[in-house]
Amino acid sequence: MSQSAEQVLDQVYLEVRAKILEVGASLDRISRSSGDVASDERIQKLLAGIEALGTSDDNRAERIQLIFSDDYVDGWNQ
Amino acid sequence: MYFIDPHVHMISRVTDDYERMARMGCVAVSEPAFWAGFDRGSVDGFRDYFRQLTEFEPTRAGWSGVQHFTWMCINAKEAENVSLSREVIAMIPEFLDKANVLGIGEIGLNKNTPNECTIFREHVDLAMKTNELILIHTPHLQDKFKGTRMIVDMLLEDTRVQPDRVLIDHVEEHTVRVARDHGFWCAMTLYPVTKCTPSRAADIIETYGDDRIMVNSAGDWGPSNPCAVPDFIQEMRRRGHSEAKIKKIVYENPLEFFSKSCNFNFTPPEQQRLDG
Ligand SMILES: [Zn+2]
Repeated sequence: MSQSAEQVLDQVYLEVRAKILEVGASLDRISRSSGDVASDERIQKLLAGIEALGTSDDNRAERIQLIFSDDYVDGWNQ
Repeated sequence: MYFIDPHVHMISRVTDDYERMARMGCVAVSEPAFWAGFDRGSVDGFRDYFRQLTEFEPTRAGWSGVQHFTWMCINAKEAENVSLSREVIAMIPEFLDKANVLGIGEIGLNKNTPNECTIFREHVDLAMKTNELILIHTPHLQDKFKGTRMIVDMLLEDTRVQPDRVLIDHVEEHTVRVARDHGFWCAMTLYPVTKCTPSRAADIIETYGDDRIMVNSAGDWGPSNPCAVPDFIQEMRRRGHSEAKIKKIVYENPLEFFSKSCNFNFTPPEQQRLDG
């Protein structure tokens, strides 16, 4: 790859910061609204996705995609 | 840089879009048959749609100097109506010899249902009997991973299918490997919210390489941008990738795949200018 980690960080820092803020503000908006969605499966998936961000491998995007995916059953067509 | 948009539903776009695409370097588009936003009521509704794709749309594209190619099918959403789907599949051969038809597409799955699988397999059978290329739509969001795996399983069931004559579209981080591992071509769709952004598409290229892969706008009647391929070109340049590498993805790869169809009578832009 042609860019150094520092160059990439320079490019994405403000953008990623803005996206994290947007996530925090969205979750705050859900919390302060009426009703309770704590048991809604979508909230569980969002929280699992956020947790996957904290890991240190280089496969985060794929693992987050799989959190939001239906299970595939091998041999379904047999 | 010249580019080809290998998946864009131009009948949903205005003539100004062709003009803007041409100004940004678009020299050809390929337009798979898809869902119109409502379920059509009869096989004649599809016949008229296919006439539009094979008669008027190439003419309209030509006004901006863009070459127009297309694909025939009944899409996965309407495949839930099995009897109508079978009428459409029986009618498709009327159009396979039209000058701009590259093959059968975009077939695939939407909600991964048994009826969708039945009609998918029958489309593949038609493509094998008529020796056509296949362009495949993979499902959206939570259905994508399971649906892409099911599609690959069904393609592998049919021993007549040659993977290098099949393009699996709308791949993302979790489906690109399953498509490429079996030798199929694949494409990434650049959408504002769902599917891939230009930066994630560039990440996938950096991870999996630039063979048998392309990018498209899948511009249609929903939120989409027919000038998304130039956004990808810009992102690749910003990262320092060579012009040769970018050209391979946005121009040479679609050329290589489409050239497997005997109806792909493409005139390179350099040649067009000499002729003109
Ligand atoms: Zn499409």
